[in-house]
Amino acid sequence: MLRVEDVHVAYDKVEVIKGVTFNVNQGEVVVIIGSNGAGKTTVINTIAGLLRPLSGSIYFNDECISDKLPAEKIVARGIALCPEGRQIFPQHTVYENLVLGGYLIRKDKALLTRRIEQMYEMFPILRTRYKQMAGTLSGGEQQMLAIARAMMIDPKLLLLDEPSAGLAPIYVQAVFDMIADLARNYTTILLVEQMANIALDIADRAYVLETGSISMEGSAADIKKDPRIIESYLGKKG
Amino acid sequence: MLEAIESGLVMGSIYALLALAINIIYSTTGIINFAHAELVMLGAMFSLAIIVNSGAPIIPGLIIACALVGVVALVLYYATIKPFGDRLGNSLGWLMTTLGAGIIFKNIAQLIWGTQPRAFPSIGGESLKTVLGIKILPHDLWVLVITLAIALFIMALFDKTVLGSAIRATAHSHNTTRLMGISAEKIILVCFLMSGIVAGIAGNLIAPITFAGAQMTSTIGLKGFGAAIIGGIGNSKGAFVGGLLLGILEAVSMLYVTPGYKDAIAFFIMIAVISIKPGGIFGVAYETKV
Amino acid sequence: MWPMKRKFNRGQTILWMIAVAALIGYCFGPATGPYYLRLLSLSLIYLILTSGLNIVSGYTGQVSLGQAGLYGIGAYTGGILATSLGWSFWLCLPAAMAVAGIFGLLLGLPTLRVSGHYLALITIGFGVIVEKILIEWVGLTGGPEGIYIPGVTMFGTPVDETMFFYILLAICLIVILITRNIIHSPYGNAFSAIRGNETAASCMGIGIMKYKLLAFVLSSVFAGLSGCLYAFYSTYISPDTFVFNLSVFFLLTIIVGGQGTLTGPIIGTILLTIGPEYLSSIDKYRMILYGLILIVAVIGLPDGITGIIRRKFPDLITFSQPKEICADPIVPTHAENQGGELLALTGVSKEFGGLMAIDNVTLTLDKGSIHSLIGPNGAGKSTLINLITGVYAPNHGQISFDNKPISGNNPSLIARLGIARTFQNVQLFKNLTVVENVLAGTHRHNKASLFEFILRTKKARKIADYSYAETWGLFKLIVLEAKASDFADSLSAGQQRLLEIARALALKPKLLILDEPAAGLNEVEINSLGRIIKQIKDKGISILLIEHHIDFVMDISDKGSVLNFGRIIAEGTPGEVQTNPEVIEAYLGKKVVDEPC
Repeated sequence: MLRVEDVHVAYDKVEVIKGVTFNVNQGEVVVIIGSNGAGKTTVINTIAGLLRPLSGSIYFNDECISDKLPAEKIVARGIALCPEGRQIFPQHTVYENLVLGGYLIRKDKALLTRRIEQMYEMFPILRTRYKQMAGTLSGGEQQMLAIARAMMIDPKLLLLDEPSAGLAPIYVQAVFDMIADLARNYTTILLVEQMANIALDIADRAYVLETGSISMEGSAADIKKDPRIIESYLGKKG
Repeated sequence: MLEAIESGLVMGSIYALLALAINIIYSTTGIINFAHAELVMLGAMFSLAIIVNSGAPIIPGLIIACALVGVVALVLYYATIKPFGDRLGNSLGWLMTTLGAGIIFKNIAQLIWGTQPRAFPSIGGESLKTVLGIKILPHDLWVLVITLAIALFIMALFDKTVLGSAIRATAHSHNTTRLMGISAEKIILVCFLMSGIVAGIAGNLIAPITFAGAQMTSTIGLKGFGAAIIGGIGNSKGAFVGGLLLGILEAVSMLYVTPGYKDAIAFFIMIAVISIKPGGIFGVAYETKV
Repeated sequence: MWPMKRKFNRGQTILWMIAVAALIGYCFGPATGPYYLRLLSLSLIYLILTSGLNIVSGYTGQVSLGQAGLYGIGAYTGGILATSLGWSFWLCLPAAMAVAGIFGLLLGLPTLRVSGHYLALITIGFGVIVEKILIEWVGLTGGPEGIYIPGVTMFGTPVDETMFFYILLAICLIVILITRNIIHSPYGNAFSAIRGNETAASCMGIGIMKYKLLAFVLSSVFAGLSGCLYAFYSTYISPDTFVFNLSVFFLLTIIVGGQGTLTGPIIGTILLTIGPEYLSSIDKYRMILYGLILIVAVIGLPDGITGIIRRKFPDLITFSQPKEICADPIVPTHAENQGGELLALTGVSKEFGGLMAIDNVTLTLDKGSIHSLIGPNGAGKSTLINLITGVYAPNHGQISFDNKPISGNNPSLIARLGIARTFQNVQLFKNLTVVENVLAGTHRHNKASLFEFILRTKKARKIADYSYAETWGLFKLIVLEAKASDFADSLSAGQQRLLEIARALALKPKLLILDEPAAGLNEVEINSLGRIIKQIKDKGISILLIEHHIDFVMDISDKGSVLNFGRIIAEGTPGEVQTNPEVIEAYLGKKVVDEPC
């Protein structure tokens, strides 16, 4: 479904992504793990169209999306990004956030209402808080809102950027359970994450990103058992 | 005193209209449109050309005039803001370019319509009405009513419609808004259009008070910025209240000081507000992570 | 001041020849007839003002659209003193400068805490207020009728237009010389640094408010001088000269000529004052032309004409090696008492709008040691550094350095106590060359006053030479001499990081804080970095190191602290930290299913 081929990305004149190639097949959960500064957000922002690659191409369902398409058109193709730090609109209510997420389907009022209802089913806490300002929700609730908002257009591919970032440990588990649910029932998921262990639990396949290049790849189970993971985060034991 | 407050409310409504329009653009782009005063002036001049000189009927003529100002505002965006692209926030370049555009508009207007101020017909005729015990011109009443109507319309638009929601979202973050499939640029264009139309309306409301001419909005424009700041820039409620407040303060101070200092006082208030509480009355001062 | 030109290269020779030609041209001014003489005189008067405007707006980045007001204050001060008190021209000049300077100070004060458009609006408001007062206060200013000013006499003889022209030329040249001396001194460097990056400038020990105010005062003194000269030159002043459009014109000359350059105001002012005269047939369109130039220049030529010239002749500004270089540029710190704590944090907390970024952190750093701070993304490492360096103030707790409390002090004060830092996202002064970036770190040790630099006294020159020598020594250390005259943003990522370190070392710190210095570096560069850090440590300078490259960090640290969710979760030697299960969990997350060993 998604093919990333030898993509190089520069940020502020520095080449941050140095030629990565990977793919995501329909129905899969693929995770890219890596420690800080590895370039995870850069990769996912490039797929979403917020950044343009220096070279290389990204194909979605065989259409090249890395060339000229602005981010908003990529969303229309069916790729939704739940960005780093959640980025919910703090001065909008929970309901308004969801409506914005469904902007592309706003003309079909019946569909919009159905979708919102679906989101409330999946994330009951949002139904309770629907009139609350999103900025006053807890971190975990904001993450749920961000995911629900991304799901409003029923995307073919859901991108998640470090859903665990800044979340207290109890919320992290809940959020990942939610993501696993989504995977079981709905969409294809590509997720970048620092918390390797918990991400690998819900993934089918994994890639390890280290300073802009992919250093390991394989099934999630294999990667999880590999001792080199700890090394890539904490260094070789002296 | 009551008369002072009444005339203060009228001028204040004008300032409020200016501040509202300035605010629409500021909240979505982070820039203050320094050509706004000239857009207001063009509203009056277009009406003059279309209705007074060409004899078109009033209502359609007004609509066309205001729509034209909206179009000029779009041109303004493409010429002075769009070229900066993502670098917009990096410097004060937009200040110079919008300033330059304003100068161009003003001087072209001067070339076309000359430097002599012209009379501009007011709404509702010349006979005074009595409201709450004070005599008031029908035009003044219309100014208050129309300003209130526009302010309510804008607030309703922002709070209750999806478009308004999208505009507020763009004001918060362009990139996140794009992730919803919304083109931030299209939203900004809508905002410029709206700002231009409101400017046009304001021009038509001011002209009967001040006479129509290329120079008519030079100082009023700057006071519009002042009003926006006093109320809290980035905030429609603030813009509205800031405008009214500025108008009233200015009018009341005229009871104690020579009228010529009117403008000086308005700017002094603006500087004082910036120095003490840059966020204005409704602004929120909070520490942001660097 | 900085030994910039040893041997004139081709570009510089051409430039000097053009300058000399222009000067000669001006000397023949009176020969062009009275009309053009007036124009040339006006251009000189304006140039005095725009040189000052360039200091505050071009160099320091504080956009001022109120210079016409200061110009008017200068003119009216001279006019009023001459007509009411009968003061002579020569007395009125310093009086006008002083009065304008005071107003400049008043104008500058409210702008200190705000920036960008607020600043511009304050200056615009100021200009309008001055204009209105000039019109309304008839008793003082004569109102719209204006003031007629008596002629100037020098040694008893009346001064005619030609004589006045040469006086103007002389004063203008002196002003340009003074401006040059200011710009080429640490003061000029500080101004440019503030425009480049205020936070970084502050962390290098540059007192932001002090320099901004100074820039405002300088620009207003020049404006006052210019205004007074104008008043006596034209013998009649009225309020409608000192309008907002004039302020816009002044700013336009700087933009067109090139902001923040010495030649900018000269080129811009002469071009825009005399140029349009050749197009006098289109006088009606003059303002429209100015408006267009403003738009086009800002979008297309952000660095003005000087910028174009510099790009065509990159050798114009070259820094060359000084006679003596500091062989050992890293200055050892005299440890007041061997060992012991250098930096201590006790119970420090910081929250942002309800979010606890730093939660009750207690940390000590020993003298002469390398202490690492590691932790996953969002743990709060940079926030902690910002708390130590004064960018933020803690909500609770104490921070002390060398037994002195520093919590909540502003960054420039803390820097001057001896803490230097680099930033996670490199915060170099992109508008400055490599040399000037490092020089920005030497402000801690600049002990001469502005006047001494203007007059280029022996003491001032000695300080400048010494800073320059040290700077060059630091270049050799980071192997960047070849790039000394290049702009900072032309360097590679690795070189930029090293440059930041060199700048921090120029401060001669007791504590050096490095925020992710290895990010984006390749292996070779990381090895260099390691070597340099060891050299720094050997001189007794303590280092607080934040890094993700755990390998690198563990190799060179004595001790490490691990931060997660704003709290310290582990502390100890590198080995201990690496194998601590809580640390592993912080980075990788809990193992949900325990794998059998």
